[in-house]
Amino acid sequence: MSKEMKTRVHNALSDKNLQTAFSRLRTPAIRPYRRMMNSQSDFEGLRRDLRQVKERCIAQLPELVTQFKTMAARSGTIIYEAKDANDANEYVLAVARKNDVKSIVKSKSMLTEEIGLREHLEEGGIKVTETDVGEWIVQLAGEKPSHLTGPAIHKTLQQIAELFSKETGQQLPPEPQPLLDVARTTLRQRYIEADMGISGVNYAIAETGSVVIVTNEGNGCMSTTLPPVYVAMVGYEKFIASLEDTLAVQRLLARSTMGMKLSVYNSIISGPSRTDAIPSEIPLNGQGPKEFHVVLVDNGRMQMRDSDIFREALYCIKCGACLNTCPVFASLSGQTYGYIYQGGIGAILTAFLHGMDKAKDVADLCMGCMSCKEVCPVQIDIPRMITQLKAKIVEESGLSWKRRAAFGGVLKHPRRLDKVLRLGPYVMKPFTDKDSMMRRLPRPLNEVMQEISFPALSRRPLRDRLKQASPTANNSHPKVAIYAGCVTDYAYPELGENAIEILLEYGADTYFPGKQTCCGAPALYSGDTKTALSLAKENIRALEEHNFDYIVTFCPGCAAMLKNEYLSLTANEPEWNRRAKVMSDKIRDFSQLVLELTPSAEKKPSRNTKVTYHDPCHLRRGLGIFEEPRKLLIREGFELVEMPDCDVCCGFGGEMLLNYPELSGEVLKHKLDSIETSGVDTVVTNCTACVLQLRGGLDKRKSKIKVMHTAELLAKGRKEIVK
Amino acid sequence: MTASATKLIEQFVAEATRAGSEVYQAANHEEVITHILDIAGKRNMKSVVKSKSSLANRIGLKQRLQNQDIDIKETDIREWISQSKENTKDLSLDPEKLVEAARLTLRELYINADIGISEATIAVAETGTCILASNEGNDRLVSLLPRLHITLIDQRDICATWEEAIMKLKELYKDKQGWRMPSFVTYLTGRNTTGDIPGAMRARAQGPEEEHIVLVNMP
Repeated sequence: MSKEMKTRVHNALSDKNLQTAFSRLRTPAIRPYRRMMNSQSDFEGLRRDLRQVKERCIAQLPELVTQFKTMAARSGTIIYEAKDANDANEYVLAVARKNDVKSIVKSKSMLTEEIGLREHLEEGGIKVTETDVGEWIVQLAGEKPSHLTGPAIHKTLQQIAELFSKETGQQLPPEPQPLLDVARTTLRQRYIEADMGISGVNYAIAETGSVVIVTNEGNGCMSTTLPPVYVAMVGYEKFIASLEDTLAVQRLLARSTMGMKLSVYNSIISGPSRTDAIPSEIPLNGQGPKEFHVVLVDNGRMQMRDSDIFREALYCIKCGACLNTCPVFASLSGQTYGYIYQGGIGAILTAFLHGMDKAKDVADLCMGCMSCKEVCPVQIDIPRMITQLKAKIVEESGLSWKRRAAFGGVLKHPRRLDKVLRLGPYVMKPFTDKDSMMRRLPRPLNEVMQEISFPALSRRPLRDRLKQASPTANNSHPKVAIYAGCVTDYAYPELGENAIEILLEYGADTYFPGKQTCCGAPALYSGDTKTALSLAKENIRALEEHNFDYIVTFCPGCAAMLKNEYLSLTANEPEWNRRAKVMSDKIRDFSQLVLELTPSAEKKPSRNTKVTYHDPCHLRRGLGIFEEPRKLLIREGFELVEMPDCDVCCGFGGEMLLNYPELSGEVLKHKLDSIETSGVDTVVTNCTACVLQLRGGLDKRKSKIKVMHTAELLAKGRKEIVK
Repeated sequence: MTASATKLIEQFVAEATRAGSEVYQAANHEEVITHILDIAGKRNMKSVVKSKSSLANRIGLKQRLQNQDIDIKETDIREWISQSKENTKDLSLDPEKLVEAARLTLRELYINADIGISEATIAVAETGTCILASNEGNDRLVSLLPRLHITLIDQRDICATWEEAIMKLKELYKDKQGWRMPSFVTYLTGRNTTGDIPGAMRARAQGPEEEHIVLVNMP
């Protein structure tokens, strides 16, 4: 991560105006639409349909372009296939010069931002006005859009009033309708004066030779109908085959962008304006553009299409739903990412359209919470592509020396890792308080300490506390292997003991395979697939001995590695892959396993204790487990009070805490606020990393709220009953 | 009317209203006219621009509005030329110059008009949408620039779903050689709005203040 990015992140988090304005993304206005989208039973069906349409159309792209060109020839539309970004800009400038264009009105287009068209035209001495009110606001401010579909969402009413006042020479109040009225009157004048209109498109329909522009404001219609010349800028990924195909997009676009059924204006343009009012030999212009140009732009899109791994990024319909659910985006806004395309999908697009080196910083901002994947209308697996992108970047430009030392030098070697972690408690002793928490650390970890208090590592890790005897052969009890994970093993060994207590009580025989080591997640999510694969093999070997019935985990981050990622990592080694699959089928979350072992257990009497539950990202979205932990808590006699945003990331985000502690802290802050809103004094979760983060954050707030893993809560409950 | 037709209209009205339109179901021709006069009267609106509408012609809308001292102008070029034979007397007979003159004059009309009236070819109950279509583009300008917009639609042209709407588009605009879509097809759903200004989710943006739909019951 670059210094520039660190600075931008810091500035965004300190910008009070930005944070106030962006709180709109967190407010109740946005959450219900997200839930509406996910809960409506047809959502999954619609997503599947759209996905199939996009897959087919991108596969058929060359045929669709040919068909579009044939239709265009019939209607008089002029097509230009640009060689590259600069060629596209030059063509538009040439059309402008030929028509003696002095001013242009422009409707929203990410593509034109990407290739810098507006700047190119302005350098050519032509005045260009953005006509989407949000885009106009950022144009006046001299900034880049802060959100895909709401470009000026980072501006407060006061700031907008100031911008409009300056532009119009009037004293305008910071009130919505008066400001909109001024925008309307001013922009209307620009449409009328304009010699040319430019727009992007939402899609281009091959069978009818049409482009489609979707807006709510109406500027998409006015900027493309009033001026005498109209140029549509079309990226190749926009082609779809037929009008029927448009329905698949139509049924999800407005819904995903803002929870509406359909945007107000869908403008379908299939040729220049014509009239047959007067007999004429040549086709006569009507009241709209007499010239209609369509400029086709590649700029890296075809290369993406050729990649099996990254092709699906082309299916993106630019709805921004992913941005609306991203906790990082809500904290930083789009401008912090540094390039045109923002958020997780932004990392992939930036890699191919602007360059791999530029994508690294953007990819590093992803916390891996996977909430984007849940809401994407085209089922794009953004998190998977980010992991792949990081691996690709490491392949091309290598790892930093720090990471090479940490991963290749320590993490990869189980015995070395063990030694280093055992040193931890001794090295950290000067900074450890009586309650085994560290609240002040020297640089560079002091930044982390500002956000959370850290647990001191234990002098007796879990692996020292457990007998590592082999299980006896003939035994009717289910054999459960404990996969502790580094956090439980070395920081919270008591949690592991609690879990074993409960499992024993529920009839399992538990064993700790001594050769287990780090799951490899830190390496994988930094792009070091070599180390991750090496660790995968160590753990497969360690856990396949003795033919266990189940492998129980306390950290879903580890579970996701063992259950899913090891399969991808070993995809090219059939024998290892087979062994990984055998292991994968045995992986269980703690609550999941308890329920599975005790299917007919009765509900315990009420303990008169209210708790709230935090969904770990990797458990809920990575493994699809969110009912079992709740079922178990209720069965055990606890009263479950749901907190708002229970499934939003805690901010630990793998390396996020270490790389961008301030950002991790900002996301954490909102989670802690949610917990406090619930009004209970215990928050339960099934992830030890979340426990670390939440406990550390609440400690910093000097809060009395307790954080417990389900295993700890149940064990504590037993002690109380015994008393 | 059949039960299913009634349900269809109910669905259209519900969806269009939810999207921000005001829908009026006229039981007969007379009600169409009185409703439009009512809209204009209540707001003291005196000038109307209109794009091609066979519905309007059949019910004699123009004459009735003119009787109430409302100025109503046709906006497709053919009509403009025949309307303003006076104005075009001195212009050269060059078709391109004529069309350009028409275009510039008509633009002023749209901007200064109180009410724009267009007829929709198809309506879709699924989303409360009206589909406007033309080669000239004037129906679009009529729907965007005046202060208030009215869409006329024959009840029988309401489709239940978008799949049906596309089949209708095919009937209208696809021949043996393939598609011949009009240059401008607009799906209009509700009233223009924006989310770009804080605290103004449903505020009026760049189009008319009000969107009205009049469902016409033609025998």
